[in-house]
Amino acid sequence: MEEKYLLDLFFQRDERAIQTVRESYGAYCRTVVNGILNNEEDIEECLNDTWLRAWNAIPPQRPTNLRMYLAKIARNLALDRYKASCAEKRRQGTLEITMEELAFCVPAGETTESQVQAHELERLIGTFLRTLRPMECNVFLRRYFYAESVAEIAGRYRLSESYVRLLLSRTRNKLKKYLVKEAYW
Amino acid sequence: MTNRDMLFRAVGTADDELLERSELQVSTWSKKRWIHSVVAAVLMATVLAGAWRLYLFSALEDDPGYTFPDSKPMTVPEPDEWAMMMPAFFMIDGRKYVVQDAYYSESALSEERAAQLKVQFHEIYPVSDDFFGEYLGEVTDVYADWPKKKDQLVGHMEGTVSGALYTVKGVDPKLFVALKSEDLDYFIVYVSVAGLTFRTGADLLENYFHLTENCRQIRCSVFTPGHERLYSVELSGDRFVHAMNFIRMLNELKIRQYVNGTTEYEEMRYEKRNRYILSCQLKNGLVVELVIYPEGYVYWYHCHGVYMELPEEVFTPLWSMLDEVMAE
Repeated sequence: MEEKYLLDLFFQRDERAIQTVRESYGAYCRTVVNGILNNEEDIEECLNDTWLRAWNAIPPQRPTNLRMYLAKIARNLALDRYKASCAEKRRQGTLEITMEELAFCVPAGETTESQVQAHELERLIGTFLRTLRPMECNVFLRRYFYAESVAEIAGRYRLSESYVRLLLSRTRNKLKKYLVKEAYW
Repeated sequence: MTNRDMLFRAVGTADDELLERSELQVSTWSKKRWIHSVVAAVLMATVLAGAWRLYLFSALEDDPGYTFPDSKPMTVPEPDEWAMMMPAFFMIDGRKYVVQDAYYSESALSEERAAQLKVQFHEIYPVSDDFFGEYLGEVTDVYADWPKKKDQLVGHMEGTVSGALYTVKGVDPKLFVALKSEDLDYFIVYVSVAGLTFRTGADLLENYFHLTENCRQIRCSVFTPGHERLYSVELSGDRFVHAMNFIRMLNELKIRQYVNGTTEYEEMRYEKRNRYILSCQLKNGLVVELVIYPEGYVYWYHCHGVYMELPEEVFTPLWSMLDEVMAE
């Protein structure tokens, strides 16, 4: 009901929409961005950019899940900001470690610019996630979508940290095989 | 954009539904439930003697916190052709029995004797000689000459085993009977479950075995695709508690229904991966074996078709614990 009300505000171009999404989803989007950015100023700016991006995109878009829609915008903007502002320091960043883990699944050093390929990869990832057991998928997303630490994930699901690492390792192997099988790389 | 970055961004387009599911946390006990559990433990302590029991059972959950949809009762069918080809399958008065387990007296417990009996030593459940006598009920029949009973006996037992057929004390002989060897140092229990109806795990594990109350020891072993058992490790301390919590939870699980005239178990029969077996020895000496599949299924060994599907949040920690136990 609240989402519908919020979307109506967006569609009516009522500026209360921005204030309301900030109040309703600010905390959630902050947790998503927190995993990527460490700087409070960057986080705040990223969140403001998120509301603005949503304001510009709705309408014409009408997301079916506004909370996740905003989380995805925030995550992408945080990634952009991370790359732009921390390029020289990223070797020390925790996100860099997370991304390095995932780099295992792709050929090293190559660059792909094609938008078509990017969309194809998104489609494959979506399908791949559906093939995973629920807990594998959950752990994978907590790590690579929310950039949570292994300890956080272990605490969330009451698993041992070693088991979380094992699950992640298995899932990365699966993903690598899957992408090769689908002839993506 | 590098491939690595593109992959990381692609994960960012994951389905909303999957992302929302990942947010669910495994529930933890509330203070109220802790209090209930402690009270239950104290009450239990007045009944159960022994400090170690007090420690172990005080940690058991009364309510694991999972809910399961209602299910239709399932009636166990007659043993299929595969079961009837098993060694130690036979019929008495029209009822079909399959072997449940073999029990050996302490005096029979030696590696040499195990080899002679063609059983693996670590599979043997020793029963004290006194207990051995107390366990069996009355003699219902004596099979001294199997060939004359051809119409009742099927399988390779025919002509190879003889002995007295006993009831098992406290158990309906239609469910269990025991064949005592002529050497008198072991007996084999047979079970007949065809026609019994189950709806939840409790209908089997509690109604027939009172498993949560009577389980005194749990051992874990690995079952290979070649139906060979490797190792056997007793679960102790927290691991015993974990396994008991798991068994308690099983009571609430629904028995899975048949699919297209067959069971999912049958489809998994030729599973290529290892499985785990939890062997729960009861106070009366019976052993209830629960086979756990890597796909998250559990079934009571020797009762084909009676199996349960575990919730992911239960299966994963259990499997992880068993992995750890067997890796040690």
